[in-house]
Amino acid sequence: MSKRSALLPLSILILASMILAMAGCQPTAAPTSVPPTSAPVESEPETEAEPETEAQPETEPEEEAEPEEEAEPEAEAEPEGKFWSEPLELTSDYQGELVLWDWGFEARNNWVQKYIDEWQADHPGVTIRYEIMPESDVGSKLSTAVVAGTGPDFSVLNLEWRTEFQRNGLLEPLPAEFFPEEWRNLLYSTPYARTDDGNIYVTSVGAMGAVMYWDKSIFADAGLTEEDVPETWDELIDLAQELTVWNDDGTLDRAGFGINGMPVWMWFDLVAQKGGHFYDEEVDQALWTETASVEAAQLVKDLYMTYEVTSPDVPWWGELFCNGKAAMGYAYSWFPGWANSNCPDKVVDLGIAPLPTFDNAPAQGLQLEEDFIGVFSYVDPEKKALIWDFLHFLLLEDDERIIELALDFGVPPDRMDLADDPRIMENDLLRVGAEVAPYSVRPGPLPMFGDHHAFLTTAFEEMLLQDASPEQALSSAVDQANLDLEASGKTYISTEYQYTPPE
Amino acid sequence: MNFFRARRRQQLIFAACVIVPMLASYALFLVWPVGWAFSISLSDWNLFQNAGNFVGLRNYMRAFRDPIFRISLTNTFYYAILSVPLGLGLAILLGVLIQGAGRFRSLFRVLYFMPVLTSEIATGVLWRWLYQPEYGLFNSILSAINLPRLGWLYSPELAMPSVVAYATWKGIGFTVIIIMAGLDGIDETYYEAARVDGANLWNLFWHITLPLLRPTLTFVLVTGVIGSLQVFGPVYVMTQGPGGPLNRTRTMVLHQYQTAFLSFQWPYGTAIAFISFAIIMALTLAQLRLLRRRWEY
Repeated sequence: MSKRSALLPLSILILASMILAMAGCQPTAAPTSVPPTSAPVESEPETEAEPETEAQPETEPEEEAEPEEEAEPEAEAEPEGKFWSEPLELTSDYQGELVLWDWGFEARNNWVQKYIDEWQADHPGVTIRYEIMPESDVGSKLSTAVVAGTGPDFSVLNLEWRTEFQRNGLLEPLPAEFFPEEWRNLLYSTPYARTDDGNIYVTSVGAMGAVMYWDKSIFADAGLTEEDVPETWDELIDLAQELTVWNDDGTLDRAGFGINGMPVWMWFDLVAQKGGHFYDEEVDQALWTETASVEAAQLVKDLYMTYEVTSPDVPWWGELFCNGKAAMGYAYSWFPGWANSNCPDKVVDLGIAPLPTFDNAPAQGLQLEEDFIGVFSYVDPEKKALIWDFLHFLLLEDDERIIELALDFGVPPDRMDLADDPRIMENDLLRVGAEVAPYSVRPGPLPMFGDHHAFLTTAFEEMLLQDASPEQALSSAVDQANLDLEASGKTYISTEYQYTPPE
Repeated sequence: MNFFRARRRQQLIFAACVIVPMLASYALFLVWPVGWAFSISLSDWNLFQNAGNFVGLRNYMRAFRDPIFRISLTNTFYYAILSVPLGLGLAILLGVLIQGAGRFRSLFRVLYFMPVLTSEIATGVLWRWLYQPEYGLFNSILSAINLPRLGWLYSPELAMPSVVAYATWKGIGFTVIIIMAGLDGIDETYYEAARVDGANLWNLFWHITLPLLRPTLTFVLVTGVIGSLQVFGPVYVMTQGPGGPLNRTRTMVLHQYQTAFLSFQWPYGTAIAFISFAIIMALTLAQLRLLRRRWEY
């Protein structure tokens, strides 16, 4: 049998198998979006109030003013102060295991585990299995496990996954009776966390933003102090040029300002400082070739190629700092925690300051919600009741826990009322974060943090490695982003236009 | 006659017992998933809702409009053009040399095969550090001998060749083993006869070794091309992004993985997978057709 005639029946067999499999696996029409369900067990507090309202009509015939007096008991019952800190009245008899997923971040993991242990001590018969895995694994494992029905009951989520799960009706909104409006109004993230149905699906424990770091020992060697830390980009350029050291062979010995690994993130902050936007309000078009965006990209490029305070060939700021090879650098507020794990002896030299700004900048930069835990909608109501109880215990019942997490995690709490806590003010990182929070744009889960980040990374590589102009490089990125927005079919909610500079 | 019919029936039953489980597992783990994936590629299926509408060839057409897909296709072919001839040529050379190493044959075979046994992730990370422009060993050696430092994985021009170099180091041992097995199958009498006729080393290699090694080389070439067009591990572990710089190391499979699993665009990612499959199938058939020949000497 010749090869040709042997291949033909094989090809037919494969094709036939595919067609048969297709016929057996016809996609069904997409269901309408699954409305989130609320646990019915929370109705007890309402039933307790009912007898009072039922009793009131007995007095009504005596005085016509009674209907107004009917409102008074409710006014008297209005909670005062931090009423939400009262422990919930547990309404679930569930005994067994609850599963919580998270990725490895030591400070947060330790904090969560500590309070899991404490909560479990008060809830005999209920255990929370806290599973920690590498961050790179969580996204794909979580999405497939949730669909397969083998996912956790609740999980720490990041901005991108939260959006996907929310969009597909897989998350349970926070019950207003457990997470009242008064508490939500204290969170910086609340206006930005609402979705188009008005619900909030994921708690936030803080807001992460970019910070400027500086090496105290390098400053001291140069005769500089904290007073010399730059506050504007012009000041930074001058100082960085002074502190940059190049070798005779053309390699960089010490960067004046380390940006590698994060030029795109820095560009986000610069665009916000210039009052620019990333997408139109409907998130149909990317706006990366507008004046503010191009000017911001030009500054990033100039730091490398005009002012030569860094080089594309050196490692990112973190590794430079640990080796004493950068005077200043840009990174997010998780950096001190990273440094503590990777070069603990060097952390003592870590100085922290707000990002420099332009004159009359309307904003300091971006802040991104440090999304915390979301509860999946497929979980049994009995289990949900316990999960709400645990989250309430963790986040609402004792502000000391929030302060503790902020101090360990290095992320300013999402709570406006805790911003001036002395312990926050004493911690440089948290103080800076709390001070800039009102001046920060919170754009929401936009694709520039996810699918489109690769387009922007390539654009900056073109600028830095091929000397492309910002207009040209960003134009290519815009084309790709717009094609993706059109073809992917995904919708996004932008909150970047909600920002208004404080007076 | 009844005896022979009964025996025939017995043989058929035995054959069925052997073949059916294999066919069943083939159908279950290959045919059905592939068919289902194909149906996904023709829909706007969503993992979370486990449902989708038929959209025809929209996802396939999107691939041809997608500049990143075109770049990934180019990069994949570039990787194959670099890695296959390099790997094959080196393997033949090493195979012939090791064949003549006498009692050290086994030692060299083990040494060259050891990288094959190592973890791709671990060695990929190691080589990434070796390539580091400022602190890596390779540039340190270049500096020590007064040669200019290179960008390696950070250079758009050198990133893919750097990955190819690693992949060649990692996989050459396997190819050498196969080549050596082919060399072992060549009858020594051919060489003796040729030497009697005055053939030198090059004559022996060109006129005897290579032609008689042809079936082995065909196998290595075909599987090498298939493997190179499916490259994923080295680029994922070693490159920035991954796939950088400037998408110069973004291969088809990497693009497919990122689209499906990181961007949650499964139908489009699946369409890319089938386009890759079609390209690889076409190339494989073309190779087999071009290289087919009755090997009788």
